[in-house]
Amino acid sequence: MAPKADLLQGTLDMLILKAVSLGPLHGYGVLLRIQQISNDRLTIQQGSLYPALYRLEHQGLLATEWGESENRRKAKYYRLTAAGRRQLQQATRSWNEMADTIGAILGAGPEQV
Amino acid sequence: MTLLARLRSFLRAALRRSRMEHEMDAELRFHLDARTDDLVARGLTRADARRRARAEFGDPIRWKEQGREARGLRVVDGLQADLKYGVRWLLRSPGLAVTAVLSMAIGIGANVAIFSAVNTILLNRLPVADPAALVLLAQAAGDGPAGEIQGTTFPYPFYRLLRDSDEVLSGVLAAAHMSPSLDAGGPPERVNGELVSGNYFDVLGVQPHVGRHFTQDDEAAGANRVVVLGYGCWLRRFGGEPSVIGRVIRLNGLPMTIVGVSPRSFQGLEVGGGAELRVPITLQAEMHGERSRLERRGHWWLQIMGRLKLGVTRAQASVVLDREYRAYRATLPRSEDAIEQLAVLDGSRGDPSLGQRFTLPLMVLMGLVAMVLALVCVNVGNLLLARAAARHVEMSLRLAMGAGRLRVMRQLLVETLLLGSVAGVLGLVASRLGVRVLAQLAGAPPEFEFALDTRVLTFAATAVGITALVCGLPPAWASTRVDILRALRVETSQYTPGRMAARRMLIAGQIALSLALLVGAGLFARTLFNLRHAGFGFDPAPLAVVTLNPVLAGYDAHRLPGFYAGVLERVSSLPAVESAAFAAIPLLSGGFWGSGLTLDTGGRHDDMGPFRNAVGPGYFGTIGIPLREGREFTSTDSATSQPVAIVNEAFVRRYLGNGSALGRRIGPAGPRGGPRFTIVGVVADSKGARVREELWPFWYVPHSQLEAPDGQIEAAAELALHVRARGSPTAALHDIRQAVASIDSRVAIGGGATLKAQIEDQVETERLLATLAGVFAAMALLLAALGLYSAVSYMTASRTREIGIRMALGASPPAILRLMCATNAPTIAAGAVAGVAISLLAAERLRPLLFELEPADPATLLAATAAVTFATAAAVLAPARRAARIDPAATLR
Repeated sequence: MAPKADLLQGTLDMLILKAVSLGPLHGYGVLLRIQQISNDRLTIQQGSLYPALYRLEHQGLLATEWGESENRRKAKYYRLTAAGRRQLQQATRSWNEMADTIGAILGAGPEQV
Repeated sequence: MTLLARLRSFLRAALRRSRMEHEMDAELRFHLDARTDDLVARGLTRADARRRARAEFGDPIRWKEQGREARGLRVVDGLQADLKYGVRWLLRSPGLAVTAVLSMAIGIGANVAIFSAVNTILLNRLPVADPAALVLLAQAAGDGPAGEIQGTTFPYPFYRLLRDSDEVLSGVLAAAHMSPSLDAGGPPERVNGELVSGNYFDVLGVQPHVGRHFTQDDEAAGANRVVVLGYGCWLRRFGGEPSVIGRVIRLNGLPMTIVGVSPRSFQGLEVGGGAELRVPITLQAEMHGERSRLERRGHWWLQIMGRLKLGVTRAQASVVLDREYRAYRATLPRSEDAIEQLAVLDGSRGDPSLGQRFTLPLMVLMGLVAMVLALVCVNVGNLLLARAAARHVEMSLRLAMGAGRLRVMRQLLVETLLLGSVAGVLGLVASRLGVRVLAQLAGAPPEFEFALDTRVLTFAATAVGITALVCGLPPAWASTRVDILRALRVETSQYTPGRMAARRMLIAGQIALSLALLVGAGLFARTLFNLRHAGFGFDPAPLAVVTLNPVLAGYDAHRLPGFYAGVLERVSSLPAVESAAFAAIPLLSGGFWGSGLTLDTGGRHDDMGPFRNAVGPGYFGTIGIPLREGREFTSTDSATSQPVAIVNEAFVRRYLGNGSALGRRIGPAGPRGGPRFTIVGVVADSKGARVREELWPFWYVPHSQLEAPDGQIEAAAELALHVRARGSPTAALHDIRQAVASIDSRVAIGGGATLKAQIEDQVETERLLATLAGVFAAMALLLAALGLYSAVSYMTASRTREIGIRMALGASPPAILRLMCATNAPTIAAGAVAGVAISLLAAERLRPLLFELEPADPATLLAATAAVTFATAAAVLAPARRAARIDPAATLR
């Protein structure tokens, strides 16, 4: 297994939005989905998820409602709002641009300098 | 949009706090439970799984705290904690809290009270439907758009013209002042009233308190004899009984039916306007026993207000109405010299004359109370500063433990805001009492109320905010600017001159402000004195005046002379009366009369010219105006004898020049004018209409000769009886009333007052200013002295050890006293100098309110400086003497 990478500053919000964009999830579900998509390559301190969720909800990017979980427990479900969807698209775009730029810089050979 | 979402989320979290907390707990619990289940499914024991889940999760308290922060709740929580702490602290030092709250309450209360007056008189709109659409018509001189306003009265035919054309106005009303004699069972009394058009209340959109208001039918010719009472009149004269509807009262002897009462809030077209009752305009002739004015195209007597149609601007209305006005004016005969153009004024505040009269006095009062509040702020700030020194260690400890400076300052500001809020509530209550006193001082009718509306409340809240900030910020700043290490190590109550410098400056500022306030109060007090003792040209003390109008009681022109002769004879023979005489215009009543002037040389003055009066035999002797040349009028000057006149010395100087005035002929200007009257006497100068006027040129004719040539019977219908009393004029007034009633009890006595009282009426504004300025200045001086006293006490206390050492080394108590005084003398001197400078600058603005007084009045400046020096010296001496009595042995142990 590859060494686990620490989460880059500010990327947690984006990952949460992405995870929730695939369907409503409760907090624990968000954690599981991120781990699942990333093949367990990312460590997230589990509790830190919640301040981030509250922040996104506060900003109107996520909406919440109480529902029942798969093992019949009451759980709070998060769902992407229209504003959240726009935000996710924009974040993805700028992330890709950034990654391209950084990649180009790091991949530059001596002949390009 | 996200801002809105954030606000909504914040409010939801803040207002439904416990539910949010509960949900947060449930959510975290669910996470731990779900994780534990998963781990158990992977083969761990439940206990191990639980432990592992917790470890992976981290500290839930921390996450919850961050969660709250994410919702913007941290500030709320912090403020709540600050508030709790603040309350606890205030309860621990009640003396300080009470002092601070009380002085802030006084400052805020005074400001809110004066602002309430500003609000009601200058800012508030009329309490009618949609006041913004109301316009007031006025005549303006000149042809440009910026024509000067000349008057606000119009003839009835012009009013009718506007009412019947509905181009720009949806409604037009007319009103005129009158003062009928009201007979509601008791002795008849002259009251303030209004003649109004039938649609008056409809156009204003005012609903009656009881009964009904007028309708257009009430204005029809041969109108109903109906009357609508004002709320105050109803309350005072009719006991506020709804059963008065339908009752018949007599106005000028005419029986009239009460049909309604207007609401309390409605005072007419003027704030605090005193109309006690209103009758339809069509009753004018019948009520006053005179020719009807309704068809007179050149008689300017009606105030006209209109309501703009929806979508019509004032400028548009102005164009249309001015056109109509010019067309109307063109139909008038040439001799009716109407003013060029019509102006359409904002009518939302009604007739602006009251506001104009009170603008400057109110602004001055606002300035005075603002200064008082500034003083309060300095004082409370000083108190808090002293306390900040005492809390030095606490602050240092907080900062040492890592509290941010802003966070600590916030804590301190919350405490001041708490003080300010309590003071604000108290101040608001106090201001309600204050405005009642204010209304009384200003002579407003008892039902008059200064509104307590959102504007006043906003002002009060702003005053609290500013006060708290100004009081609290400097101490908060100072007490968080600490050298932590030093503060925690060294004993705190040390005399640090640097820290004292700031306080000294504040104290000097206080002294300066209170000195300036004292100067203001002094100037107003001297103005009042000057007005009361103005050179009237006679001694007002023994005089009294009553106004009689027998026409209102049904007398016709033929019976008038008989009635007046009878009254004069009866009154003159009263033991309390030394002499009595009639005049058409009562002395110092504010009323004046001018009719231009023509001279025997052919000279002609078509402006108002000199003031004029028509007086009876013995008038000058009764008033005490010395005769310089010639003779007084006598009873032989009658309608059939040679027309004669008496002029004053100013008249001679201005119009006649050198040579004897006796024998010269003068007369009024105008179509029926001409120099008919031969001058038979010259009298000394005296004031006529107002206390504040100069000694104006005057000419007098016998009132018996007034009627025939001019045809002006109106002038002689009402005469004012001037009486010189033997003893107290107040007592004489009583006898005079009885004497008049014994001749005809139906004749109402108007304006029965001593001349002294009449003068007091005229100096009402000045009295108000002098009284309030005096109160505010006294408050200021007290505050400054208290501030100085507490500061010096504090400094003395912190120098106890030093003084002990000095004394132990041989300093005598007088030397210590000198030292303490010397330390404070520069502060006082600096404050006094600054105060004189401020006074000189500010007093110039007061010039229009002063009377026979320069703003830089040396006596006032000197007296104010002396008072401040005396008070501050006393405030310094007490603690200084305490210092001199220090026992060195006790302090050094």
